[in-house]
Amino acid sequence: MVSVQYQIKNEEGLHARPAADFCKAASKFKSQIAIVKDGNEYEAKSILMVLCVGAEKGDVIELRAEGEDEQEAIDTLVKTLDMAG
Amino acid sequence: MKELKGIPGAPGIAQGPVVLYRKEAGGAAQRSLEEAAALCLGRVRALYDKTLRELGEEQAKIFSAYEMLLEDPMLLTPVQAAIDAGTPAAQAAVEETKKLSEILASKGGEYMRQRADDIRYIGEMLATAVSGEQTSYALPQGTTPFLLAAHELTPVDTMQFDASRLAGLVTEMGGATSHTVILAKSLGIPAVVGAKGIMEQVEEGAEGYLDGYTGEFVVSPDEKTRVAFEKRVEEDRLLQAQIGTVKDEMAHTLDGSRISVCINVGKPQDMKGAGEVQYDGVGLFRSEFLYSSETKKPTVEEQREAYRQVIDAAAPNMVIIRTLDIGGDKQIAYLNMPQEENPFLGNRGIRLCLQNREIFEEQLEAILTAAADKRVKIMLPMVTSLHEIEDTRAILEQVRARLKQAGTPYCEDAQLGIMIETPASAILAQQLAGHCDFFSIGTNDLVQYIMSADRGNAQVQKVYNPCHPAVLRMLAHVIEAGAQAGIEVSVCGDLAADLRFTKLLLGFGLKKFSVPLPMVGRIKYKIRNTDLKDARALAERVLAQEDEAVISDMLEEA
Repeated sequence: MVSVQYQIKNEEGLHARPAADFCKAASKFKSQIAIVKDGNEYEAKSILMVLCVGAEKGDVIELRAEGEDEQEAIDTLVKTLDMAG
Repeated sequence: MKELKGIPGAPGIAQGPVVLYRKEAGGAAQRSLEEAAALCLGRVRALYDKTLRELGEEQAKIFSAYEMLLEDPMLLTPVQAAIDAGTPAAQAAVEETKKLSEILASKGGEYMRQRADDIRYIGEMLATAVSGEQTSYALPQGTTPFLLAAHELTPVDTMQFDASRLAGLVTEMGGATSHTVILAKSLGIPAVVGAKGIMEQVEEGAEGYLDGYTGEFVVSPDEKTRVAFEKRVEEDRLLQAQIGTVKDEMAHTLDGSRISVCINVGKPQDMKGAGEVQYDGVGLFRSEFLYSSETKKPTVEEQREAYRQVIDAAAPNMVIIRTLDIGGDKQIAYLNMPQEENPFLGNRGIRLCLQNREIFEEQLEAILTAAADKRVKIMLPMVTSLHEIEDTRAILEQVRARLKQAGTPYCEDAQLGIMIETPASAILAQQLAGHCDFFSIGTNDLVQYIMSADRGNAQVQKVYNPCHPAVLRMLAHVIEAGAQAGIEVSVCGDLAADLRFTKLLLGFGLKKFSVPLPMVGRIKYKIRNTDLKDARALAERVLAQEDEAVISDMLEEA
C-alpha cells in the first residue's frame, strides 16, 4: 500500500471541478484508492464520496492506494490536486 | 387576484398565461433500476448536448455533473439494496438519495447545498423513471409565450422547453443561486423562485405577471394592478432599449444633479459582472459569509484576501465593509452566544462584536490591511448609542497603533460610519452625525423595528409596510440630519432598489443608492428620468399624508 499526506491548496477545496477531475483521474487506475480524513475512509472513484469528504482549503487529507498501479496512482492524483490549486 | 411573494431569480418582467408543471403517476410500464438509470443517463446526455449548443460549456457542465452522479455506484447501490429489501422502487430512489443529499447538505456551504439538491433531483428523476411516472402540463396553443410555474424545476425540466416560448419561470422552491436561476439568467428569461403556494393557489391558464427584479408574482390581477404591471413592462422595455447607454453612464437627474449608484455585495464572487456596468463603488459589503463555518473562525489572512478581492475589483471606487452582523438566530460555537428568546432584539451586530473583542479586532485589522493602498470605509451594524461608536473608534485606534508599530502597511484614512437601522439611531441621527463619518440606512431592519413587525411573518405582512408615514418621516429625518451635518447618507436596504421609492428618496434629498448589481441599470434609468423639483414636490405631498394606502397609490403613480 502507498499512502501520502496532502494539504489542500485550492481555494474551493476539494469541491466542484477539482472533485470531478480528481474522481475521473482516480477511476483510470486499477488500484483501490481511498481518501482518509478525520479517521473516515472515502472511496476516491466515487464523486459522491469525494464530495462527502468535504475537504476545504488548508485541510490535510491522506491518499491511500493499494494494487498493481498504486505508486503511479498516488503520483498522478497528487499532480491532479496540485494542478487544481 | 392572487399575489405571491418570492425571491428575485433572474431579472426582467414577464407576462403570459400560467402553465402548471406537475409530476403524476402515468401508465407507462415499470422499469428496473438499471433500465431507469440508463434512461436518465440518455436524457441527461441529450440535454448536455442541447445546452452546449444553445448556451455553451459553462452551463452544460451541470449535466455532465449529473452524468457522473448517475454513473456513480455509490449512488445506485444503496437504492438497489433498498429495493431488494422490499421497498417500492420509486420510494427507495427518493429515500436513499435523500439520505445522501442530507449528508452533503450537512457539510455546509452553498456549493454543497447545491450538490445536495442535485442528488435529490437525480433521486426524483430515477423515481419517475422506475415507476413510469410522467410529467404533465398543457401548453397553450400556437406560439404564445407562457409563464412556467412549478413546485420545483430541475435543470432537466427547464431545458426540455423551447426557450422562445418561456416568458418566465416561477417556482415554490429554490434559492437565488440555484441551477435553474443560473440557466434562466443565461437564457435571458425572468424568474422568481421561492414563491410558496403556487401549485395550490394558481389556476391553470390564468393571466400572470412576474417581476424578476422584486420577486413578485401576480395572477389574475385586478385592473389597478394590471395597469401598474403593464407600466413596469413598458418601463422595462424602454430600459432594455436604452440599457447600452444607461450601463455606461453615471446617474444624473433630468436637471443635472449627480447621484451615486453603488452595489451591495455578499461575497467576492458577486463582483463578477460588475466590470460591465458603470457604478460608483460598493455601498455595502456584507462580511457574514466569512463566518459561515460554525466551528472555525476565519483567520485574518482569509478575511484580508476576501476583502482585497472586492476592494481590487471595485478600485478606484470606494468599498464600504460592514462589520460582522449576526445574532442569536445563528449559532456560532466560538462566539459567546447563549440561547435568546428574541434574537432580533438580542445580542447582535455591534453589540456582539464589542463583547467579542478578539474577533472584532481581527476583522478591523483585516479590513485596514486589505486596503493598505486602496480605499475602504468601515460600517457598524445595529448601532443604538454613541458609546458604541466611541468604543469602536478606541479599538480601531489600538489596532492602527499596533499595525503602525509592526510596520505593517494599512489604510490610514478609513472612515467610520454606521448603519441606521434601529429607531434609536434614526431618532438620534442629528447627534450621531457628529460622531461618525457617514450613514447608511438599512431599510429592511428599520421598517421592521419601527413597525414592530417581523417581515418574515406572513400574519403581519400588511403591518410591515414601508409606505407607512412613520417609516417615511423617519427616512426624511435621517437624510435631512445627514445633509445638515455635511456627512454622506446612503440607503442600502430593499427600498433603495424598489423603483416605486426612487423619486421619493430623491425628493428627500438622497444622493446615494446602494442596490444589488442586477438593479443598477433600472435605478440609474429611473434617476435619469426624474426631475428633482418634481421629486421634492412629491416628497412634500407624501409627508403631509397620514394614510399609508393613499401614500402607496401616490408612489405607484409617481
